[in-house]
Amino acid sequence: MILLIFFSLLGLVLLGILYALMTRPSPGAPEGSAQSLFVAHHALTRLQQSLLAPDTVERIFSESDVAYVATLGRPEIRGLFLSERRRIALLWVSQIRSEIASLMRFHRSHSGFYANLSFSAEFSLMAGFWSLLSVCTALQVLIYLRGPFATRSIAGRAVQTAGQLCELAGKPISFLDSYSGGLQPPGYPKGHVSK
Amino acid sequence: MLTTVLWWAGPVLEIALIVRAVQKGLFLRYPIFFSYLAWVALVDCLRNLVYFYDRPSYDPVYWSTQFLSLIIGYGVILEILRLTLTRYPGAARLARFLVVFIFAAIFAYVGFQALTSPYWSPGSTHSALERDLRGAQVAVLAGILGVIGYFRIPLGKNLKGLISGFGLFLASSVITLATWSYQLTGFSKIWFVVQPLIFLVCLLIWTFTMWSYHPNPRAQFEGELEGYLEYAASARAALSAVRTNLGKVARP
Repeated sequence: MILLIFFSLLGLVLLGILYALMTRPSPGAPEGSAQSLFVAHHALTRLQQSLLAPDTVERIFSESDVAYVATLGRPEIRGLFLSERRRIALLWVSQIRSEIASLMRFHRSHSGFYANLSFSAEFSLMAGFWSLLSVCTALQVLIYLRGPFATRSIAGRAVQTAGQLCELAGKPISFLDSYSGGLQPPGYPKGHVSK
Repeated sequence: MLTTVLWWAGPVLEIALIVRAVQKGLFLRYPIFFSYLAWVALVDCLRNLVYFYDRPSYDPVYWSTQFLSLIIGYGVILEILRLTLTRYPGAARLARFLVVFIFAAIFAYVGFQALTSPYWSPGSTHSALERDLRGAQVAVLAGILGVIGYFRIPLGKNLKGLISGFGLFLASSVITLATWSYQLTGFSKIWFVVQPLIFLVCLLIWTFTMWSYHPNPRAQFEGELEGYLEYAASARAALSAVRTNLGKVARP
């Protein structure tokens, strides 16, 4: 009976993989094309210049806003403010998550071309991407449960780390720059810089 | 009546596909697959004739021809590997490693069983042996498809059809053979209808997807990339640091 279950499961796993493979969305642009490189470059730029920018992080987690609203003495306004700020913070994390996922997709479609692909390095990188995505999920849960102003230190640390994050986010750009130097999306006039 | 129709519909479609493949030059592009189909067409015609005119000889004819089909089936899997991963040297390396690993695991398991179990025999029945060999094919194909999915390798219409038809056939075969090996009551009657019916579905998939040539989408980036290790190290360091800092944001 164990063999019956084992072989049936084996067949079902193959059917599942086939289904996933045949119904996966086709990539918008051919792998390795200027457009796919641009999408990855754009994701990194957005992370670096917009989502993890100190101003953005400081504004989302700023306690001066909540302190100001508290001085109004109107609980309904404070409640509305907190729920709106939570929504914004959750949106912020989900956008970071989406950009990281976009980078991960780019990496997967890109690394297959490397003849000297290292299995351990590939495994380690994938583990890195997945753990980063997990951190984003944990952050979403925390923000959802405790709100963005749960502790004073969160905002301070967020601002403090934002600079480091920008610097770190720049590292992978260097490898993209070597392939995509001066990349522009199709249809953009020359010299246009997309943010 | 239904069984008869199913049994003859297969060879008709197979021959139509082969004739079309020769006319359109598909035979040269997918030589092992169409050789497999030609062999299956020949064997199906032979088996059907034996079944209707000399039923006692059917079982020996079936099992003696089935094992050559199995061997050519491994060739089809290698052709899928060649056609999908040629332009992706890194992915091809990983797939080859997986194929070797799966076979090594199977041989290690069989060797262990042969040495330690006094009741072990290489397939107590023909169907059990075929089930084991098909199981190995399923594992190898699943590994290759996992690599194709992981590296987001695009597939053209022909390859999608070839893979989905062959994969469906293998998966259904291994499930029905596993059930068949246990001689479940009443299953033999269902087997005679279900097996040709599923193969007919596979043939229809191949007919719709391999009627004419559709090239595989070409990646715009061709050739080898250098510096993977440097890239991987810098990307890994960046990811690790971003993770650490995001973690700090989350902690009170």
